[in-house]
Amino acid sequence: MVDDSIDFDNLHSLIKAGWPKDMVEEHFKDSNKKSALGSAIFIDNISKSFNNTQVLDKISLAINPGEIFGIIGLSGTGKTTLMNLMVGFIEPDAGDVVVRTPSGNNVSVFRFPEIIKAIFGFSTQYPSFYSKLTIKENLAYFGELFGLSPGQIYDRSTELLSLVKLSRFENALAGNLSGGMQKRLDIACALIHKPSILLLDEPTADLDPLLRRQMWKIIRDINKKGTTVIVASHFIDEIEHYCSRIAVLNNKTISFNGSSDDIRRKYTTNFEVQLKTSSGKYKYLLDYLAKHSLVARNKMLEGKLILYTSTPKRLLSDLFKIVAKHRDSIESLDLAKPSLKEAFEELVK
Amino acid sequence: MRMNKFIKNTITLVKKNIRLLIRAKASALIVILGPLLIIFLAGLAFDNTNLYAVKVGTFSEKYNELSNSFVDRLVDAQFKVTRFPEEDKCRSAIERGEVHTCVVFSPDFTMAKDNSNELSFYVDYSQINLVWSVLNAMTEEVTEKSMELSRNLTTILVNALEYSSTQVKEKRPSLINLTTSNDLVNRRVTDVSIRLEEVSLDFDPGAFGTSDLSSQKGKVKHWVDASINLGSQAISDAKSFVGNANDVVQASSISGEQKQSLKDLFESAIDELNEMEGKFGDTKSLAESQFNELNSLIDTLVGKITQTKAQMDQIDAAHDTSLAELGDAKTALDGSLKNLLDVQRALNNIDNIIRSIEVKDPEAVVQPIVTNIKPVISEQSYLNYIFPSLIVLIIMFTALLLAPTLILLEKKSPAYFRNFMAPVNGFTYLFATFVTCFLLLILQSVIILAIAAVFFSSQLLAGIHYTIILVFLVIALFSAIGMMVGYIFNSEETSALGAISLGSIFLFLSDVIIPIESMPSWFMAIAELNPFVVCSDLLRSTIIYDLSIFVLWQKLILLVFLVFIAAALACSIYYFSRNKLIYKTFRKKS
Repeated sequence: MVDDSIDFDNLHSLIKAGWPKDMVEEHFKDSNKKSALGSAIFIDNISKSFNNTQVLDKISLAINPGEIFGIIGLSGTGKTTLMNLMVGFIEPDAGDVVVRTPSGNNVSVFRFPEIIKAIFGFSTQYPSFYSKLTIKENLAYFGELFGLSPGQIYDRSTELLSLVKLSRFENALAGNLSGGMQKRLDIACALIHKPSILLLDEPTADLDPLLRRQMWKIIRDINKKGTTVIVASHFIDEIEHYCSRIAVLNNKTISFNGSSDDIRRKYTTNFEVQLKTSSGKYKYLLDYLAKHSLVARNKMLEGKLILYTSTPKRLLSDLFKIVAKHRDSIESLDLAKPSLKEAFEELVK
Repeated sequence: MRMNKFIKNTITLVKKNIRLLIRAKASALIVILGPLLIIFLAGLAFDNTNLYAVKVGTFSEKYNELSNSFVDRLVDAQFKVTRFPEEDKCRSAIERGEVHTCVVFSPDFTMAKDNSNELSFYVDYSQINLVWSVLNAMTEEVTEKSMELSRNLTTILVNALEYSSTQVKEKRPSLINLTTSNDLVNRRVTDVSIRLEEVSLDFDPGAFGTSDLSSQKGKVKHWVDASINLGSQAISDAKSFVGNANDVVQASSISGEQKQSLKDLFESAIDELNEMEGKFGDTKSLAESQFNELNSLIDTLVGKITQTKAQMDQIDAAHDTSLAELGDAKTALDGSLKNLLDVQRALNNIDNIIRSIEVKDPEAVVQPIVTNIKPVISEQSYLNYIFPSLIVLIIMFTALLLAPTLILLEKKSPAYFRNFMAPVNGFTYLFATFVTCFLLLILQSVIILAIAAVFFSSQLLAGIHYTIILVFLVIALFSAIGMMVGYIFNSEETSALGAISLGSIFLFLSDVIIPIESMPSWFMAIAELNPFVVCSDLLRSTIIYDLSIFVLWQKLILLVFLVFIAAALACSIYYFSRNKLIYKTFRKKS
């Protein structure tokens, strides 16, 4: 929670609040140099390498306030690096990350790390709290570090525990919680100071589908309260489903930045058709489809024939005819829109 | 406001640190209760001054009254004594741990003439502290017996000295008489020598004119012969003249009477001349006889003179020999007089020395200085003496283990990242760790001092204000050093190893195991800067001697200096390792 009593637009207010004078003066001098164009966070031409290995190369990205922004990419493409750069945990080789304060000023993450820490909440892939403290103690501890009063901590903890559905376990040791509960506690800890931007790195990793759905509900609830959420995940379908915009990180740079529809439109037009016949034989179908070039590609999955086509209407019409002609019958048939997964695969191919 | 935030954050972090430490039961047990257990055990272990459990092995080829009395003395002193039949068995019993020391009596261990009574101790120097304790205890017992024997021997020696002194006094006049007589004889010999030297034994045979005597003898003989010849010639001539005259007369014309008368006269003259010639012949014979006699006498005289000369030569040689011998005798007399004077002087010196010996009491001679080792304080327990070192030891090891434990708990905690994300600067974490460590150690120290106060309250409480100040500084110093260790290492195992190694170095470089004074000078100089030594010395001065800390102001300044140095180093290492850790944490998360 950002201290409401601090006026971030007022130099004297910041100095009075305890910010180093030289830092604040420099901040005001530079605050409007970079235009984030109203973005909650603006990544400006950032590069990072480790041991002479380039991980990120001249990445630029603008994340809008209040959106759920997804970052996808193959393992090792630098999703976590990018998120750590966003919060200033590591410094870039080049470029900058500018964050918009609640008062509308643009602040460099690296030049004023103490100022921006209150703006961010970060839940990493691995929960970051004290396993030997209870849920309540963890929230109180981090709340105190962010300058919350005991009353504020109590109110905020109650609210967050309700949000992440951990109210009943507030006195349980964090180390004794299940994986899903630990994830939720971690998010609660990340939100204790009411940050305006929440970064979630693989929030649903290692969770079962039910818990994943619960987690996304929580994320959406958080977002609904005005918090900008940035999620990095390798569950592309979740990103597709819950994120308003997506950045695809590939080959050290952002290959694509836009909505899921945009990416689908750009990188694939194929619909997915899943077919299961009573005979379970598909050779006659595949021969026909190949002859008439109706599918882009196909594969077998769990006894079903999966077909990708850009002409779904004609394909479905022909499928019914051919199946009937060969005195076979259709047991199940599903038609799906072109998926982000497919577009992603296409993109990173 | 900034300070307020700093204090609030520090309190939050300290609360969290203590909670984590308490909930990490093993750490809490080792770090907090461990030292208390140490002091409890140390209290039990050192709360006496005796060595009842020391086992002593003895060996003697043949036990006698003297060796048995030694053994009995050891038994009386509550040592567990075992007699071994062989020296090797006794010695190997130490190796097996059956005994702590082996006492070997030399063969024929008696107080007899030319006996070298040796008492050999076999000890195991690998148990160095026990060795000194055992040797001290044994030496004490042996010294007692040895003193008793020494007293008897000294009595004999003192008596002999007294007798010598008396004899010197009694015999001094005889020696003086001897010296005086010697001197007199010497002087007489000198006189004789002088007189003998004055005697002239020059003898010149020439002075007797023996050579002239021979020529004169020839001359006399010649003149006598000539005279006799002249006389004989004159008589013969006279006789011839007379004959001629008679002839002439006869031939003359004078009367026959006249002629007869003249002839008679001539005949009478010739008769007279013949008588004279006869007499002259007798005289010649007599002269020749007398001359021969005279010649014989002269020869005899010359022979006597020659003999006398030979005798005089002998006398002269004997004179010279006598003078030489008298010279030798004088030299010998001088030497003997000198020796006598030396003896006299030596005896005088001996007498003076014996007189100058003021202490003639055997007891005082055997033990001229009565050693009376008194403790500075009147307590009877070793715990009092080692308490300052013990408290520093506990603080040191607790700090060296606690600070790294706290730091590693934080470093290894997944919450490290979230802490980084909190608007709290690094120094606050550093300071909070220090404060946590400091508070826990103060708590421990309070407990230790409270327990100690129960046992030796008057002594401890007398300088408690100085002790508290010093304990604060000691805690600050070792907390900072412990933090250095914590920030250097990245795992519990290595940090614990580092902490124990560092603590051991401090311990070995102190006088707890070996006196610093026995170390090489350059090593001693380093040891003097050892934080453990500095702290122990200061605490010893306040707790045992009840001195003001300002008396040892140099060490106090050194301690404060060390605190600042350690704190500065801890900060430097923290900031350096923090950057590395952020990088590592990030890599791990990536």
